Amino acid sequence: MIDRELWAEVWQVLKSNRLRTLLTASGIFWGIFILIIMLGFGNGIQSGVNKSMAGYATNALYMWGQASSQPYQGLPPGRPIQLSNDDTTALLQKIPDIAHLAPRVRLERWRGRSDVVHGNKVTDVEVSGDMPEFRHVLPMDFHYGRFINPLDIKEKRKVVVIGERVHSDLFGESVNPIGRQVQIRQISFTVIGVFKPKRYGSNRERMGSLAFIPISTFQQVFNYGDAIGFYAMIPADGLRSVDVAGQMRQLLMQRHRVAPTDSRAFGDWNSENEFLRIERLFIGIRAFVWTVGLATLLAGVLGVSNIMLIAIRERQREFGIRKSIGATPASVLKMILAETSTLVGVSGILGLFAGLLGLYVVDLITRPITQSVDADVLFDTPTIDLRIAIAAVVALAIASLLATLIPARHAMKIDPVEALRAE
Amino acid sequence: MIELKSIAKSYAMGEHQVRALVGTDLFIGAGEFVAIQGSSGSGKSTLLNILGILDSPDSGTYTLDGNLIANLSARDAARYRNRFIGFVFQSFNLIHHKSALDNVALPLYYQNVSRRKRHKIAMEYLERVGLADRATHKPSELSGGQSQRVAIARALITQPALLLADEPTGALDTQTGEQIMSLFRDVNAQGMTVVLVTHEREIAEQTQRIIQLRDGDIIRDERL
Repeated sequence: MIDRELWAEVWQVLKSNRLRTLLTASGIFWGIFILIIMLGFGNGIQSGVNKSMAGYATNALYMWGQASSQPYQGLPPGRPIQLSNDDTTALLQKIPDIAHLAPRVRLERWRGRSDVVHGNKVTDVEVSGDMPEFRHVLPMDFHYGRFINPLDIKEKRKVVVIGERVHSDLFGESVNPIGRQVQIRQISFTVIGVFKPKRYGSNRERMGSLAFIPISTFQQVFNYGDAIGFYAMIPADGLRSVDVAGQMRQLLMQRHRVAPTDSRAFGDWNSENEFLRIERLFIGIRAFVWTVGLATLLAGVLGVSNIMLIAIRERQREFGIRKSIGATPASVLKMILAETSTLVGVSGILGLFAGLLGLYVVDLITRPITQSVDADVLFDTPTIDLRIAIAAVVALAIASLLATLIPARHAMKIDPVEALRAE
Repeated sequence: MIELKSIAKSYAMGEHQVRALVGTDLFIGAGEFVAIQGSSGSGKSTLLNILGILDSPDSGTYTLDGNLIANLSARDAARYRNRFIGFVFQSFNLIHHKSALDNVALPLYYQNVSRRKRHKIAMEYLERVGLADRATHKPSELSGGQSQRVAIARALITQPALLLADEPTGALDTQTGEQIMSLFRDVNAQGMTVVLVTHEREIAEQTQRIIQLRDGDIIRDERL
């Protein structure tokens, strides 16, 4: 394959037709360059959107009790529905489609905060009572310690898991707070962990201001009895959370004697729809990128075959001469294909590098905006899967070779008598 | 060297069949210097193409240097042309983007001779035609006579058994034509079989044997 003589011959031909070589090469170069840039931007937008999404599991569903809106079995409408630990037990027993069920209680209202004290320092936190299962709803990593475990629940331990901001406000970032005491509503809790969410989303400050207490402890010390605020639920693999939510709702309606037609007794919200919408957006972006990119590449391929067609026409006489002095048809074909693959290969690889360089420059320029802590732009470092990029170059080379094969076969069959007669 | 037996060839020209050769017999011995003469349409180009294995006859046999030339694949035909035959054309047919040296060396490329070696050999042949100082020139920088001499050097470089020339002086002035003819005589004197096609009597008379063609058949074969 590595035939120095052939490459010397190819080089001579390409060099002797500089303009033609340059035009063909620029078509290929441009095609690859555009594809790389577009793929990079597509990925940049995608990871930007992903980053802006909250750190909660994308298929989580939340359900809470509201108030009945219809009279049923002698009960009047407007009756408040209070979820309880018994509901949790029933849900877990009767609905196997639930993968994880995390009952939750809040100390304050929605997003309300309480003071948390350590020594003479105080800061504000969003306090909730949770089960170990909550980790599946909000995936997290730990700077120090651990999350709530079943033993904490069973023994109703007075322990707390705190967020990063709480930690640095009360203890300082470099201090290990495990085993230290903090007070919430004058009740002391032992710090057992400092967490950070696996993905921050756009609300990093809030994520750092959370505090988790075992739900059993919470219900006891804050006098919540067996009340549950709401459920966070993750469906079993392959199931949609809205479908499983239907089963939950049905069971809870029976348990709380709510009319089967009463749709307002329980509220729910899920991020899945949101997630699916964004997923569809990504599919759209990707389809767009690939359509435009492949169309550009196709234009490049057509350009190559077109120019090779003209080039071969132009060189008919040359091929005739070559054949008359001993070139075999195969050697003519080999030479043309070698010319094409050299041209496409070199300009394709140059386009690839130029594209990567372009993405790097874009990243350098946008980094101060996209990488700041509270960045709210839907764009992140443009990346590209190098395998895809290389595959594109290879596919382009193969397509160009195939496209060149038609005029090349024609060149192979050139009758030297005819070619040399043409004046 | 060359033995043709009842060679016939015809072409389709629109609705008509044109019989270019009608059953020609011809023997040319090794070391001969032969002119094929005839007006246009006499079949002389067809004969030359068949001799040069650029074209194959409809019927008849062609034996070149002891080899029966029949039913060759395109690849074998190319190989025979490369090994046995040197071509010189009226319009020189040099490759315009190659230097004189590269043009002369090209047949050796198709024999897989290394670049350095074929350049060395090509230089010897350029010296032989008196153009060593023009080695790096492109064909566009050469005069007609120089171009034809480069073409002859290219034809000779493979040391073929047979040198075929198609109106080699047709595009040249008389004086330059004389130079080319004397080059052919030298080549022939060294033992090469030379066959040239011409319609000019004066050129034909400078060879040793004139074969006169008319309407696809040999009407006269005279030795000078």
